[in-house]
Amino acid sequence: MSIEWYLVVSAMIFCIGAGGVITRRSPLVTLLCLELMLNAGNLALIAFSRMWGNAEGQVFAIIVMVVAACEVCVGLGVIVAMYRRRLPIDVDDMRELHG
Amino acid sequence: MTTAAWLVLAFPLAGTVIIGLGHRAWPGRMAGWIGTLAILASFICSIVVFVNLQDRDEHHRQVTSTLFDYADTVGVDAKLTILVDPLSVLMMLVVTGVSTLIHLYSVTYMTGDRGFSRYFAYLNFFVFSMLVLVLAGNFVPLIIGWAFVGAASYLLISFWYRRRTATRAGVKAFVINVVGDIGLMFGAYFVLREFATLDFLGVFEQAPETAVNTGNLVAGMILILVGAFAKSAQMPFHTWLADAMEGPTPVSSLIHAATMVTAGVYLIARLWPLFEVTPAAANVAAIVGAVTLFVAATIALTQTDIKRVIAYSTMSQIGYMIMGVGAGAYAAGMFHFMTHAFFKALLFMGAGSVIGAMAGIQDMDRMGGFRRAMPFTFATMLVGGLALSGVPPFSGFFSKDEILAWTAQRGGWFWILVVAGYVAAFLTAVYTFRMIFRVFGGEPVPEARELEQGHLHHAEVHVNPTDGEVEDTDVGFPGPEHFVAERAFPMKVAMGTLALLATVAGALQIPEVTHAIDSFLHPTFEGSRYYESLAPSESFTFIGMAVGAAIGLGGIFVAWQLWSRHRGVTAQLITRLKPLYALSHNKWYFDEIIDALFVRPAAWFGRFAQQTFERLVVNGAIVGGASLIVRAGSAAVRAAQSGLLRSYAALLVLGVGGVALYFLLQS
Amino acid sequence: MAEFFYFLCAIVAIAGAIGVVALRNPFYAVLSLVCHLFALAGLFLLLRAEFVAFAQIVVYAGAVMVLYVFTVGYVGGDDESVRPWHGPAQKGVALVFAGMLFVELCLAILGSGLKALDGEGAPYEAGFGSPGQIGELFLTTFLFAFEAASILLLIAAVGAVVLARRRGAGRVEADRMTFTEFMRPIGTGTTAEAVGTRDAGINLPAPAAEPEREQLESGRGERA
Repeated sequence: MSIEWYLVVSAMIFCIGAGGVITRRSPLVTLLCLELMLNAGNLALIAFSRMWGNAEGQVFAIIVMVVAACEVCVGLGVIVAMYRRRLPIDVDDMRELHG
Repeated sequence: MTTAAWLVLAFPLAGTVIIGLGHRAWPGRMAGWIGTLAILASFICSIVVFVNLQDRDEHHRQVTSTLFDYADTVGVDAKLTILVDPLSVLMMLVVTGVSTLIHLYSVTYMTGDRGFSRYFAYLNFFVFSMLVLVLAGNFVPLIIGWAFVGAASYLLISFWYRRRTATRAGVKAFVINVVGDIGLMFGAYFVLREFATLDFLGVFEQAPETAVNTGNLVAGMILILVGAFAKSAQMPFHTWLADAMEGPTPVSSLIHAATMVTAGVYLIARLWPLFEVTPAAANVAAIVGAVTLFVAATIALTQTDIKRVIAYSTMSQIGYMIMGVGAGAYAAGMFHFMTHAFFKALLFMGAGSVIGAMAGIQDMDRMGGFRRAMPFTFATMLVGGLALSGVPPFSGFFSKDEILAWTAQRGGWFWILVVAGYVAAFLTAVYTFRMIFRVFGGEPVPEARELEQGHLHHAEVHVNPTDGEVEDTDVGFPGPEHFVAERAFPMKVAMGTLALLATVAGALQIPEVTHAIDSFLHPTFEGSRYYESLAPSESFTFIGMAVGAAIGLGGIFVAWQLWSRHRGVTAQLITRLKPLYALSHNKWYFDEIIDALFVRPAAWFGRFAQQTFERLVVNGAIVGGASLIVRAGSAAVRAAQSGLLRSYAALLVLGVGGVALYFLLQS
Repeated sequence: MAEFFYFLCAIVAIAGAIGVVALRNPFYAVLSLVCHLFALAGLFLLLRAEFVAFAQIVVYAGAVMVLYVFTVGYVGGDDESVRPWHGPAQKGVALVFAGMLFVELCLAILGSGLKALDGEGAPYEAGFGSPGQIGELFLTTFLFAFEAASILLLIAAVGAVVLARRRGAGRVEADRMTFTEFMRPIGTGTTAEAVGTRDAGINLPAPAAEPEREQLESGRGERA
């Protein structure tokens, strides 16, 4: 299997994730799509690591996983806080940071 | 000696500064005494200069002294130089002398006015500017002094600044003066162009070598004449002088009778070398002077405001002076200037006294019979009137006749001017004594009766004498008190001195007997084509004198008949000569013509500029347009900041795509 | 053989991804992601990254997704209503942008651009991708990254607790407020508060009494 296959899959997952971020209105699902994108990146990293025969890519991928976990943690914490305050859980309704 | 000359300038300047800086703090009439003393000191220094000048050898009587260089570059030598020579010393003596007396008069006249200190600061400033003008040694201080006297005139005409008529008159005077200033400046430019120097003595040295009536010089001299006419209220720049009577009477006396309005005469006399090589301009001066003296005399016949009669009389007499110096009779013109300063200032002072008795009213229709109530004023005004009418042995007789006799010597069409001069002299006598008979003759009016009983009429309600608007006596308006000469010693001193001078000054230049002015001024006019050549023969002189005296006395007789003996005749005359009367009473419609020709278009243009151009083009298109573009641009950019998370994400993805595309294309 | 597994995992991964994006119910979306993660772990195994695959399943699909499930359960996953678009993020736009990006990336990958792509990859060494090798790398070359990642995890944990805890008692839980009102700090000492036109807490004014309803009811009562 040449490496391009994996990279194409990674690209496809990345783009699907990007499309999901743009499309979905619930912040929960937006975070899920972000996860998709991160995973796509991970796949690319692992693929390249295999290509070079260098395990550093996998170390990188683990760190990415760590970061993704933290981000999910905090993001979900924010969503829970919003839910607690009875704010609308809708990305379109929160637009006070406008010009 | 030049130190004394600089001191002549320094004292009024010091007076202005000292009075001006503390004008709120000076108690009582202190500012008035300071001002008077400053001018008195200046007068004493002028006498010192005069004595020193006479000590010198006759051919070394033109002394210059430079204080500093303003600029000496690109062919323009601008220095602060004074030129002390007989002409400027004569002007200096008259200006400081008469100013001292008028300051003295003003100390009483302006008592009680809330702007007392401000008045004396302005008056000292005026004297300083006039002296700068007179002492100027090149065109630069001349122009500076010229502009300053215009400013001082404006400040003093609109002295009672809360009167709308006064401020409008001040603006009118200033605008016409500025027109003259521009003429003077451009004229100086043409002189510079011709002679490459601004210095008077330098220019005068080169003048005899230039061709007659060169283009540069004709243009330059005509422009300088514009300046002279505007300052001296000659036609067609004369309309400001009558309105300038809005100022306090001593101001009219000093500025608009004795000194500022004679600046044009001085200018022409000073620049005589240039005028003699430009006969075109000199002839223009003579003609304009003659026209003015005649027209102004006709106007003065029908005016009812006492100050305006005297104002038009001033205009007329300055016409004589201009005609004289334009025709080459320099000494005669300057002599008439001196005597005119004396008797005209005196007439104005007397008018001020009468106005005080009338508690501010200036309308001659309401005056009458003051001779018993105000004997001193009556006597002095009689002296002034006789001098003005040219009755021997008063000074005006000698000076006016000398001008006419010398001008006649030019021959040719100058005879027309001389005849006009004699006719106007007749009219002068008529209107002068019309004024005197109306004010002092006849039945006493209530105010006069009050004064006879020892009580000065006091106005309950103060009104603007021009338009009758009711006003109070607060700051910006005349003070509550009025003064008559009979009760004020300073006024008596001033008027008495002037009356004495008006009587005896003629002795300075009795034809064939004394020629003090002639010989005194000779060093200035050395080399002039006309200075000596125009001297008339003895017989001509005596015939002229006889004619002049007869005319003067004839005019007085006519006035006596019309306004003293048969009082109703004037009304019949007015109805019979209605168009002539209308022409004279409306001042030959000059105001209306100038209003239609210049003022209305200017006002229309201003309105157009403000309402259309300013509002639509500048504010609307340029300013509004610029801000509209910015606002539209920022609105367009602001649309991208919607706050929507998803649109931001979309833009992010788009951006990443763009970057990837860039790198793709690169490789 | 490898190709078969590759295609299986790849298709499941992509299907899971599409499921995340397309499913309306958030809970189903989470489950779809879990599926996707498993498939991705399969792909990792195909690439000889054993430890990472294992970590993916245990940590990612195990812990993080469980957290997600809990949160979705708590917050509630109502089906998203299909609202007409508010901003420039309608599906068409998303399709265009994402599609464009995908095309570019494919061009980059498959075109002659990335010449460094070696078809078969490096020869396999034993122990490549094993936990031992990864651990060695972590504790020697990437020690700093390792420690930093630990601290990051700590911060994230503390942060999540701080964010999600209940704040002070005795405050009136008002009805739906806007975000601005929520962000307004308590008691800033503005004049509006002093005068009383604005509440100094987040206490919103009580709903106004509804006399109309009473009138309506009474009216109805009368008629009835």
